[in-house]
Amino acid sequence: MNSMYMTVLTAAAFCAAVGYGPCPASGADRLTVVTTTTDLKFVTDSVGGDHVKVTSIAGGAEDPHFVSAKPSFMMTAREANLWIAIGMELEIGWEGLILEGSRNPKIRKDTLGYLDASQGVLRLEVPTEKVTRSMGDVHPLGNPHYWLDPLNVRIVAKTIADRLAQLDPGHSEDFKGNLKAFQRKIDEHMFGKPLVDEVGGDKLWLREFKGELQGFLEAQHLTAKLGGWAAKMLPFRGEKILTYHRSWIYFTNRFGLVVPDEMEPKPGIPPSPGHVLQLIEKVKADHIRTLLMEPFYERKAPDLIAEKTGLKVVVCANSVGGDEAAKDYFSMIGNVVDKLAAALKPASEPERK
Amino acid sequence: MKRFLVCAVLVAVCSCTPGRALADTVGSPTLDDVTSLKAEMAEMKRMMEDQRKSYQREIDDLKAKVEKLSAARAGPSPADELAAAIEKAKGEAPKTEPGMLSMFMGKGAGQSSVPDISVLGDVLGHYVADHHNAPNPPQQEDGKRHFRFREMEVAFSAPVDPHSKADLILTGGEDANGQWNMDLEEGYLTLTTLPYDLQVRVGKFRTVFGKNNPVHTHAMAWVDRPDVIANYFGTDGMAETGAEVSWLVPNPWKKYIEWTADIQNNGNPESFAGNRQDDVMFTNHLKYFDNLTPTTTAELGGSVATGANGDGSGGRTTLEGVDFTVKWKPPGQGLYKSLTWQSEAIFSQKDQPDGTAVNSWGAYSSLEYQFARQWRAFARLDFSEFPDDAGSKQIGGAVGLTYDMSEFCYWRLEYKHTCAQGALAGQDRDELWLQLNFGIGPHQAHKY
Repeated sequence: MNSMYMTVLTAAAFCAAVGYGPCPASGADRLTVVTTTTDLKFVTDSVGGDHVKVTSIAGGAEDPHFVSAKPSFMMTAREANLWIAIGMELEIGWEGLILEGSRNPKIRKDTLGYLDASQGVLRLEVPTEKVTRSMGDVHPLGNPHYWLDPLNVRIVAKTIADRLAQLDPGHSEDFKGNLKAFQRKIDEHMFGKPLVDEVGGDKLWLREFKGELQGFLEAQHLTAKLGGWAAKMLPFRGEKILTYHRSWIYFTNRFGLVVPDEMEPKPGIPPSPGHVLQLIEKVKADHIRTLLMEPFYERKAPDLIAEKTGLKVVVCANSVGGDEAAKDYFSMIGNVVDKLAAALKPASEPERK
Repeated sequence: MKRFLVCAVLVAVCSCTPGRALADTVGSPTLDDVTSLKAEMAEMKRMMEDQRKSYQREIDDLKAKVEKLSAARAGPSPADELAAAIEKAKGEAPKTEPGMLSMFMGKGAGQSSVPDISVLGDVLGHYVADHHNAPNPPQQEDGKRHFRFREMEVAFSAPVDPHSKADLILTGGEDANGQWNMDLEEGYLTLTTLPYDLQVRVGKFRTVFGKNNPVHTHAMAWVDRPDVIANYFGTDGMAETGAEVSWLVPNPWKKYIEWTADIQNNGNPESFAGNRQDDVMFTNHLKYFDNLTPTTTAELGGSVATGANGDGSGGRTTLEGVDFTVKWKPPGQGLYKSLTWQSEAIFSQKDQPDGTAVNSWGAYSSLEYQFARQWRAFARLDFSEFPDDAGSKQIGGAVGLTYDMSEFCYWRLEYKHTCAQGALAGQDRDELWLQLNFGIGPHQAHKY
């Protein structure tokens, strides 16, 4: 009996100490959204505008595979109306702990408050055979770094806008308008404003998606009007580059680059001395000039290969906020494009503006 | 319509007839005439407005039809074409054959009812050296060199229904004599959709007392549990059958404050009744967590447990605990560097059969530093008395190194020296462990 009394007393004392009472409402009638990454936060902010309050769990500078499920994140998720995840098992190591720890029934999986942003995207490297850990950290649902393809971000923006409209139908027209403006921005960054003005973003993406963009522009005498990221990367189609992790495949696929190997011998497995030696030989044999890597990986092994072969190491954030240059999605992709173009251009050629 | 025409003719006639002539014909208009005319005019206005709206609707319908016909003639919009092309490409993409991981995760077609299944193995190489010239030679394992499959853990986890999930963890292992024993380490149902930020567990589970006891053996930073945990809860910690309520305490600062109350059998042999178990013990734990800086977190916990200790005289044991953990992990270098400082103290008041009470305590403090992606080093200081003997003490220190071969496999080397005092005087020990821990299947991530 004493023990029960003590239990009740402890609870009562604690409630009194912390001033138990209802928590203040979190911001008028805005939807509270928690995203797993900063890239999703940027898209949600852009599409939701003033009608959403968005917080990201992972910072842009950290590897989203290995986020610590801190209890403070559970407090963040506790107040959410909507949880948006990259999906494809990118967050498998920590998402469940936060969702369960938040005790928020509104954002459980299979509710309207949980959104897997990958549901509409174009997936790459979906395994067609049995996946085992002997392959390294291979994701059974495909490579989850899809946000590095601007076309996928266009799709994700629509997925998010549709869900926001379902949760807040009163502002659905605003979400539609914001989506249109956001997609227009992506189009202008990708192809340049003059070309988008003349042809239209959807039509350009359709040609790009079908691999017919160059032919179309030539036929229409519009090649000179191509601008943006597409124009900057056009001269380097077919160029081979190395990456540290198999995280850039969506970017390289969109811009026509080829990745014959990675620093990691298998996804998620740190480079061994033997693998580094193999890479040195490969870089020399294939005349590979550039290695692209995220800032959160160690540079020791890449620098060794650079020293032995003259390879240029390009370090770029792959998420918004990952470094100084990646202030938003456009500057993040723009920074990768600019740095890669600078590293890949022949020494004699002046830098493209 | 007829009425409209009659009115229109009337108005036209009236407007065409000179006023004077009309006046001459019908005489001066009376007030009733004016009122009547006004009413008729209002009626005419309403009818004309209805007519206008009707025409407008017809025009809008026609416009929509024209637009539809134009769109049909022009074909789908570029946006629709793009969406259709993307959908077609997705449809043509090769289908995933569910791998072992997918099957266990319930992601493959038709696999949704299969629980997550994981198996962990923990193998030890252990060397114990007795202390030279000790007056009382150590009694167990001295000079022994052996390998032991300490633990095989088979874990099942799955939602039971939309309101609950179940976790079952079977653990088997070799004892000191090489005998294999299998036991249910934990098995409980968690109610996950309770209101007011509550969660309830029912079944057998590790008692939420302090920081180390709720942690599974394979998830610790060291090979062995600290002496204070081993002496007061057992070498595998304390896990009993019962029920638990935990509550995420609302507070104005929106900080993580969790209060947990357990009621479990008092079957723990070290501090409570052991196999004379005939009552329950109550445990309360309060946990506060905060981000000190973007790279550093702190956790402070307080615990109290009390229950009959089964000595036959109605005696009780009461335990109080405090724990404090600081973690540092720079986000940009989190793969390669981290630091954890964890300390815990337990105070015990245990009634004895002779009517006296033993007041004793113990504590540990541990530092773990990750200095490379796959390497971690640790050091731990131990001090512990015993629940039934405050005069006997163990004072020890351990150092070690962990190599993470991958996320799912690590090797660990630990050296520990323990000085014994009191009744255990002379039983100083030097121990060396080599540990291999590996796991297959999707083992659930551990709490922060």
